[in-house]
Amino acid sequence: MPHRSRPRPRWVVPITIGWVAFVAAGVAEAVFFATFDPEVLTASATFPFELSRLGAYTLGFVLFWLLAAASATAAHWLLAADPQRSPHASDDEDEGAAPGP
Amino acid sequence: MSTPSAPRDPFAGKFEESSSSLYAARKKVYPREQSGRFQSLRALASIVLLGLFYGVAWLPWDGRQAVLFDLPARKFHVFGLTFWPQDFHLLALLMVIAALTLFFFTALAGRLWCGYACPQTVWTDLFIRIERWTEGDRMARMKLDRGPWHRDRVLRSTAKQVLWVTLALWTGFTFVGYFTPVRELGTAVVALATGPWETFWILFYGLATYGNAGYLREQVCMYMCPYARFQSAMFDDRTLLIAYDEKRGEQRGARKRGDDHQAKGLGDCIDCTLCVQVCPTGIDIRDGLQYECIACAACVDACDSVMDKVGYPRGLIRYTDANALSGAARPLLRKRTVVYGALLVALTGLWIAGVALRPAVALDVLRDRNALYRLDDGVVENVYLLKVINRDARDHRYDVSASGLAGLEVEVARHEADTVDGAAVLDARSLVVGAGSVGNVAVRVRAPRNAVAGSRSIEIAIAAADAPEQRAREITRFFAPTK
Repeated sequence: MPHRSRPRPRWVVPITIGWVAFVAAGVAEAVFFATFDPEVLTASATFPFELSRLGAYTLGFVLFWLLAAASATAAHWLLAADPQRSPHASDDEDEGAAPGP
Repeated sequence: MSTPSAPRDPFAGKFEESSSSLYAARKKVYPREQSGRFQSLRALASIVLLGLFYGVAWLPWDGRQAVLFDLPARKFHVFGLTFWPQDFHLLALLMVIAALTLFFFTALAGRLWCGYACPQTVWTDLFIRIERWTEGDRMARMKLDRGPWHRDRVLRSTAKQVLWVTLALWTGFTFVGYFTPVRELGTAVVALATGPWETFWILFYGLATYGNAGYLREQVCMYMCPYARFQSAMFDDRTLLIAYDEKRGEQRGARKRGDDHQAKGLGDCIDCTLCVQVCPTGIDIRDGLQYECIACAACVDACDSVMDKVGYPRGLIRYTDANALSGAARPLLRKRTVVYGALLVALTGLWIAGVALRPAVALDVLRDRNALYRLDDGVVENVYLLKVINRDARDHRYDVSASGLAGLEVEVARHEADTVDGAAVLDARSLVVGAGSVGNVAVRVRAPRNAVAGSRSIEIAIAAADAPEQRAREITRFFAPTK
């Protein structure tokens, strides 16, 4: 299918990044906490650190989420700000160049 | 699609009105209510699925919650089965099976998932029902949205929001109730005493439900759903899809009752646009197959009702496949479905075997990190932490033994039981672990000073006293002074 550039609401970029990062964080969370018991981790922290398991899961999830979202945001910004690909892209956040008006 | 003309680009013309801009304001979709056989089927699917979601959390089983992914206790209960973090591979395999199931049904029946089972669809339908109930039908809602904020609009809008928010919070609560015991959570909620983490997740999932089903709706499918993008890769020309029979419908156009439309060069489509009005994603199915189509069949039911009224045969818009539309014949069984099906059967078998053949008891041995060994009166002592996982449905007393060196002795330490699961230490040689529980105990292993030097391998074993075939062992290291 030829590349299409189609209009979409502005919120699509942040929501997409947030949502994809959410799924990635879910996978990371499951693998990580199936391997490590947060109680053991907090017990061996280098500074006093008290957190229930539920708290550790939540905090861990949020951290994974932020990390994934930050990575996706950076990747998106680099692609969107590539001067080679989108010369008119000053206010353009799409990875595909806009068709010339 | 199988039209006499060139194949239609499903995206052609969809966005041309704003091709100079990358961003378009969303045109709010006001789906018109539609009844019919497929909508009844979808309503039934919704009731079953929502009933399962809201109901199963409250099912008891053997004195506990039937389905509980007990994160605080690090074990998952699914009816009679219990899973521990050690069973992670089973969860991973289950995910693969779920994905394959989706692929299989996509190849067979297209976007059945989207139209009937996807939570996004099911909750959106529920929220639209509430909207319809409080704000009226399609025309009334459009009028209300255009009109000023008079008393009627405020009242209706408030009623809608109250119901939406209540439902969203209830959904968030139920969701969290699968991860922490729902009855305790309910008591805590009533007393406004939920912990910070539970509160966070209830609000988070409540907000997600409210936003996705109340406002984002079809846009989730259009912009956020990966399945909507890649499902076409699983399609072939026998895949069930919803299509407008262009050959039969065109030329579309209005006509008077009793007109001989064929004589006027008209097809069966009377261009009433009902199929567009009922579409929850706001597309025109007559433009051909579009990735926005979630195959909810509302247009099928709408068109059938119109065909009935004007006395034409049903099925101008219908469940069909590309093959039937073009008139070619191909077998229903084809390579794609056979491969997906075979993989599905094989992996499901593997999973069931994996669950059934899990040993009834498992043992993890960790060396105590505090000291390599302790010397005491001609005896070397090492301390180990034992994690005894009783997967059986009964409590068991397990005898602990150690072997691999001459004169090894074992003593189960009488220290406090594990805070979560509990293991009662009965005597110096054994411990009791409850059904479906994990017992953590410290075990001292002693060897005569003159029998061992340096690092040696030993084996620690446990065996159920009343069922000797339920046993587990693990090799570990035993440390002693080099001389």
